[in-house]
Amino acid sequence: MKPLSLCLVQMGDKGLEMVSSHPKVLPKEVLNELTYKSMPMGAKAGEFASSSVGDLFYSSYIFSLPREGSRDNICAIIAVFNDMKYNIDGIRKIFSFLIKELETNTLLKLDLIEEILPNLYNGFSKGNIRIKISSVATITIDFENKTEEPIDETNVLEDDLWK
Amino acid sequence: MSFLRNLFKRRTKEVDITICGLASAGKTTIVRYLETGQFVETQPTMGINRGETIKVEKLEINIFDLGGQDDFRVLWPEVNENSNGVVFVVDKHDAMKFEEARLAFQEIVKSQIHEDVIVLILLHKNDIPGGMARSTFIQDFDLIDLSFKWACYETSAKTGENIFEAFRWFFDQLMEESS
Repeated sequence: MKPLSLCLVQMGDKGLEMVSSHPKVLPKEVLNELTYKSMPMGAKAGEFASSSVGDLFYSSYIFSLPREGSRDNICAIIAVFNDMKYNIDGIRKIFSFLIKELETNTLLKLDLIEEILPNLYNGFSKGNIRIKISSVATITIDFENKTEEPIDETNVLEDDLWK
Repeated sequence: MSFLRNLFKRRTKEVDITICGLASAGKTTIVRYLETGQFVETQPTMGINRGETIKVEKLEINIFDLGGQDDFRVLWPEVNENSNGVVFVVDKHDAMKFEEARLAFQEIVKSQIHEDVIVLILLHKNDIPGGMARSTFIQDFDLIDLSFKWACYETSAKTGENIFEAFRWFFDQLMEESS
């Protein structure tokens, strides 16, 4: 279940904007189209959508991003694939789990998500993800067990370089 | 029974209203206040939110809450031209975007709505001290020369200040217009 690329979209002052993508392999036109298609009209946080852009396929998870001194923003994390042979429900579970864990640890910040995109992408390739999100919190997701909820290993200090 | 229902139906008028304004002006917060009677935290509107239908006396009011970002403003004309009333929300503290708000408003009144449409302008976020004074706003926003039936209130969806009064006036005008 290796995606072609992972992307991050947010609502900017003028409209939806692509914050980041990893790896940067998608043409500009695809990124532009993806920016608007990833968050359909009337989309709300917690919603999940899958569709196509040209010959590519994608799944996006929409979430609310807390902002200090301002209202929450709306964002989407997207996985783009070459074909439809990927586990859509698995993607939904991974994305929703990741966002929930970041929120629980008050680490739901755009720059942090941007920072962990490469790790997340590598994890998709390897079949499991282990992302250290703070000195005491690590998110572990095992893709092989696609039907189960991802494993929450937050606060597990084993193998913790910060110990 | 059906006779009574028909009679009631005839007396109940359905109207569409649109809530416009720049991004983060407080449009959705106002709609949520109307629906729930309290302040509710909101997120940016993705295009158009079709709010709940509010029933006020003999009116059934369909609310179309329009996203304020540049990219969503292309949707405004189509919704506004079928609207019976327009509420334009301005953040009274956002001086940087005042001119942009004025131009967006002028665009609506000049080319997007019919002449019998009721226009309510809300100088919003009045719970925060300071910001533009209502009298200055009316002058600078070119409201004096407006040919529509209009009113301008200073409001807050956090405290509920003037929300009732503003919409009481608005709904009264809509009722009058539709009778």
